[in-house]
Amino acid sequence: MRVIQSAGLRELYDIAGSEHVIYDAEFLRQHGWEGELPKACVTPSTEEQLCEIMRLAQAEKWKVAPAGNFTKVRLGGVTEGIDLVISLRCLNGIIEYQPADLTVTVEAGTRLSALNAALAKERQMLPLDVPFTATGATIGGVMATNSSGPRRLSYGSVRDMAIGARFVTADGTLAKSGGKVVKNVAGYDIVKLLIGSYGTLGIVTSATFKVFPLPPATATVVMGFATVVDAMKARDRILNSPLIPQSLDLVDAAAAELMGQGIATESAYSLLAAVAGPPLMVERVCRELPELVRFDGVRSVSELNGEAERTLWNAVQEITPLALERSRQTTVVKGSVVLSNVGNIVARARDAAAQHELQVATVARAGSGTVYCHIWPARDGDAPAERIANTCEIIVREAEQHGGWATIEWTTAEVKSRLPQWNVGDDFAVMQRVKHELDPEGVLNPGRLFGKI
Amino acid sequence: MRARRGQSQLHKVESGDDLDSRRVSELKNIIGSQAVLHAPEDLMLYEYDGSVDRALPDAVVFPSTTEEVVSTVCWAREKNFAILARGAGTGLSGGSVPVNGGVVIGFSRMKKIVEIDLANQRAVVQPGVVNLDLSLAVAKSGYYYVPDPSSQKACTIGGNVAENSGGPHTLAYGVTTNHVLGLEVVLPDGEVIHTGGKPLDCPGYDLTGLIVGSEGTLGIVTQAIVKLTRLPEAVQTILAIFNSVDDAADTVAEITARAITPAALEMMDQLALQAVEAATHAGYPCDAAAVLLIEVEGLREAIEVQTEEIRDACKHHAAREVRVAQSEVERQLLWAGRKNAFGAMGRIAKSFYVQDGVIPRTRISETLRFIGQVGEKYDLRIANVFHAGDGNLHPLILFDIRDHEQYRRVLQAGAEILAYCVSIGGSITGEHGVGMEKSDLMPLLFTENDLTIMGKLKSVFNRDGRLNPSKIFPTSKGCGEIQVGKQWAART
Ligand SMILES: Cc1cc2nc3c(=O)[nH]c(=O)nc-3n(C[C@H](O)[C@H](O)[C@H](O)COP(=O)(O)OP(=O)(O)OC[C@H]3O[C@@H](n4cnc5c(N)ncnc54)[C@H](O)[C@@H]3O)c2cc1C
Repeated sequence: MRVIQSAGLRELYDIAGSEHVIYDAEFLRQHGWEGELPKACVTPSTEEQLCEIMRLAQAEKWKVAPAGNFTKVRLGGVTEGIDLVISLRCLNGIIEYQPADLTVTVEAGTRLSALNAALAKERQMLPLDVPFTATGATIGGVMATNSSGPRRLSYGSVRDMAIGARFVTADGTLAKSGGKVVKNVAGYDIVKLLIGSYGTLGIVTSATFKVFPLPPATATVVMGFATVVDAMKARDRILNSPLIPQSLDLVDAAAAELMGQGIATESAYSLLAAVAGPPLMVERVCRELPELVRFDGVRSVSELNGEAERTLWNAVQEITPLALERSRQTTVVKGSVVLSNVGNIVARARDAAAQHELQVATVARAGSGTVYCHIWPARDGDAPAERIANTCEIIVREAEQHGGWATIEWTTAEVKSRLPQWNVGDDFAVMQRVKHELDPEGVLNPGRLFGKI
Repeated sequence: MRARRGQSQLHKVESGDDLDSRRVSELKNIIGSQAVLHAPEDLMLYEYDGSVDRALPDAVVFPSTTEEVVSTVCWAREKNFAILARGAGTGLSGGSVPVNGGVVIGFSRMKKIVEIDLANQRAVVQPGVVNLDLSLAVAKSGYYYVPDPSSQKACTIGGNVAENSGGPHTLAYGVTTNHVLGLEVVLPDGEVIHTGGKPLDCPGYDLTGLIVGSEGTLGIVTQAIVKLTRLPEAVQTILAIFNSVDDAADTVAEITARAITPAALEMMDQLALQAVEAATHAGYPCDAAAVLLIEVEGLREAIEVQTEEIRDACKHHAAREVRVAQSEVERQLLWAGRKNAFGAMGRIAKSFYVQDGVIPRTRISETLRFIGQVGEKYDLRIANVFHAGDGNLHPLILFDIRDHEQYRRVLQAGAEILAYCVSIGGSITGEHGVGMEKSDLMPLLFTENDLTIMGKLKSVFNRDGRLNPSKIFPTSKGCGEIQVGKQWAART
C-alpha cells in the first residue's frame, strides 16, 4: 500500500467510497498496462460521481484513462502520464428495455454478454459479435474502440446500431446526443464522434441501441480454396447475387489452426458463410451457394449446424484474444480496405510475414473489407520487434496504396516505438480542433488514438 | 402546394438598382456571369424551400467545381456575407432558407455521378445529383442507393446528406447516415477537407458521421462517397385495410412482435387516403379508417413466410381486407400514391404544414388519438401519412395561408403535437431536420449542456457562424454567430 500524499487523492475516496478506489493499481499490469502506473483507479457507481471525479481531475490537472473491464488496455497507442484510471464497471445494468420497440438503453459498464443474455430472453439480440465478449467486454469499451464482428455484413457496426448516448466530458459536464427512438435527426450526431474515439472526447455513461429479432434458423457453409484469388472470385460472385449471407469471412489455414477449427485447416483459405432466416430460405441458400461458386476453384464444401456452427463463429469472433495468448509478441494489424483489395492485403501480409520469419493468421470480413492479420514470431524465444514493425509497415502501405487504411491494433511497446508516423488525411487538423474544443487541456487518454490526438 | 408564413415576409424585394453592381461583377468574375443570379425576380425563386418559412437571398450562385465553391466562400468571407448551400429546395424545415440573406450556393451545375464502382459497392457523386437518378444509374447492374425520400425525384444527395434523410424503405436498411462513407467538404473559411473514404472504419474521429445530418451548418458538401446495395431477388407489396385506426396501429406493433422487419411499413389515415385517391387513383379505399402499406423483400422463401405472417397479423387485428399487389404496375401505383401524398393535399386544402415527430413505435394509436384531439381543439383538419414502422409521424395540418389567424393556430397545434412526442420519449424530428422551424423547440429535447457541446462542435467548423446562420440552435443560443450582412444593399 502506497502512502496517499495528496488531498486530491483523498477526495477521490470521499466521492466514490473507499471500496471503489484502488491506489495500488498494480493489477493493471496483468491487463497489459504499459506505461507508468496511475496514481489510482476508481470505479464510480453513478453518473454524478463520475462528473465529480472529472471535475476533481480537472482541478488536480490529472490525466485520465477511461476503462471498462480492462480487456483492451493495450489496444491502440500508448497513453502518456496517466494519473487516474476510471473504470465504468460499476455503472452496469439495463436502464430501459422495450422489446416491442426494439430498443434498449444500457449503462456503459454493462458487459455485452450480459446484455445479450437479457435480450435473448425476449428472442432478441444486439448483433455485435465482437472480440473479448467472452472475457467481459463492456458496451462502453466496444463503442470507444469501434469493435465489430462477422455480422457487420448484414447488421453494420456500432455506428449503425447506437441511436443515443449520454457522456461526461473532460470538464465533468454530463451531456447527451440522440435519443431513444430509432429515427431522430434533432441536433448533431455526437454519438458517431464518440464511437471509435478511444475515450479521447468524453466518457460514455449509457447508450441506447436498436436491437434485432433472433433469426429463426441458421446454418454455415464452409468452402475451401487453394488460393486467395479463387476465394475472392467466389466472394465476388456471392456478393453480386441475391444469396448474400449474414456473414462472409475468409480465414486462412493458420487462423483455422489457431482457432482449432479442423474443418477449415484442410484448405489454404476457407470462406465461411453464415446464413440466417426462415428455415426454407436457409436451406435454399446452403444448397445454392456451393453451386454458385462451383467454377471458382472451390475444393471442398461442408455445412455446419447447431453446436459446431456456434463453436466455429465463437472462435472466429474471439480469434484476437486467442492470438494474443499465443505469444507475448503478437501483433494485430487491422486493414480497412475496399472489397477489391482484400485479397491483396491477405497475400501481402502472408508474403511479408514469411519474408520476415514470422507467422501470420488472417481473418477477413470478406464482404466488408475489414482484415485482421495476427502476426507472431515463428520461433519461440525470438525477439523480432524490428521485423514485426517492418511487416506492419508493408501492410499499412499496401492498404494506403489502394485508398484504404491499416492500423496496428495490438503490439508491444517495443514495436510501437518503431512504427512509422501515420499518414494523416487533410481532415486531421479538424479532428485536432474537435479534440481541443471538447478537451482543451488534453485530459482524456492522451496519445491513445490514431495520430496521437 | 406550398404553405407560406403570411406574417414573415422577412424581406421585401428591393428595386433592382439597389444592388451593388460592383459586388455582382466580382462574383461573376469568380464563377462566370451565367452562374450568378441577383435580379429580384430571380432571387424570389430562392426565398423558400418546402416548408413555411421564407427569406430572400442577396445573390444565388451556381458553381461547377469545388474550386469555384471555395472561391465563392472566400469571397463571402472577405465581404462578410452569410453563405448557404441549397440542393433542390424540397427541405421541410427551412434549412435552405437564407434567414439573414447572403449568398446561396446552388448545386444544379454539380450533378455528375463521378464514379460508379460496383466491384466495391460504392458510388462517388457530386452534391447536386438527384437521389433517384443515382438508383436509376445502377439499377441495370442490379444495385440501388437505399435511402428513398418520397421527394426522391427532385431532392439531391447534398440535401439528403445535410438532413440525414430517410424514406419509406429506410426501415430495414437504415437512413442516409448508414449509407454515406466519405465526404469532400468546403468549410466556411475556405478549407477543403476529405472525410472517410470508400472503406469502412476510417481511423480517427468519424467526421463523416458528424457532418451527415448537420443541416448544412458545418460545411458545404461538394462530393460524397455512398454505398450501393444489391437489389433484392423479390419484393412483395401488401395493402392492409382497416375500419379502425387503432387496429391499424396495433398491427404495426404486432408485426414487430412477430420478429418481422419489413422493408417498408407505412400508414395513411382516412383524410390522407381521400386526398391521395383524388390525386393518384391508385385504388386506395376512401372509406377505410386507415391502411398500412407494407413491403417485404429478399429471397422468395423468406418473403413467402413473412407475407403469411403479416397477413395473419392484419387479420388478427380485424383488417377488413389484405391485398397483395399482383403486378409491378399495381405495386408502383400504390407507391406513387404514397410518395405523392404530400402534394395530393392540394386536392383537399390550400396549404399544409407537415410535422415530423417520432415516437416509440408501440405508442402510435394513443398518439394519433392525441393528434385528433389537437385538431379538434384548434378546429383544424389533420391528415396522417407516415413511416409507421419506425414511429416517424407526419401529421399534415391543413389550412389556408391567407387566413393569418388560422395559421397561428396551425403553429400552436404543431408545437403541441411535438411536445407530446417528446413527452412519451420521442423526438421533434425524424428526418426533416430542425432547421429554422423547430429550433426553438430544441430545449424540449436537449439541456443547456447538450446544446453547448453541439455549439462547440459547430464552432470548430463554422467559426463565426457565417454558414447557414440561425438554424438548429434556439434563437437565444446563437453559438458564436456573428452579425453578417442582412441585405446586399444595406451594406454599401
Ligand atoms: C413531397 C415531399 C416529400 C418528402 N419526403 C421525404 C421523406 O420521405 N424523407 C425525408 O427524409 N425527407 C423528405 N422530404 C424532405 C426533403 O425532400 C429532404 O430533406 C431532402 O433531403 C432535401 O433535399 P434538397 O436537395 O431539396 O435540399 P434543400 O431543401 O435544398 O436543402 C436542405 C438542407 O440541406 C442543405 N444542403 C443542401 N445541399 C447541401 C450541400 N451540398 N452541402 C451542405 N448542405 C447542403 C441546405 O443548406 C439545407 O439546410 C420531402 C419533401 C417533400 C417536399
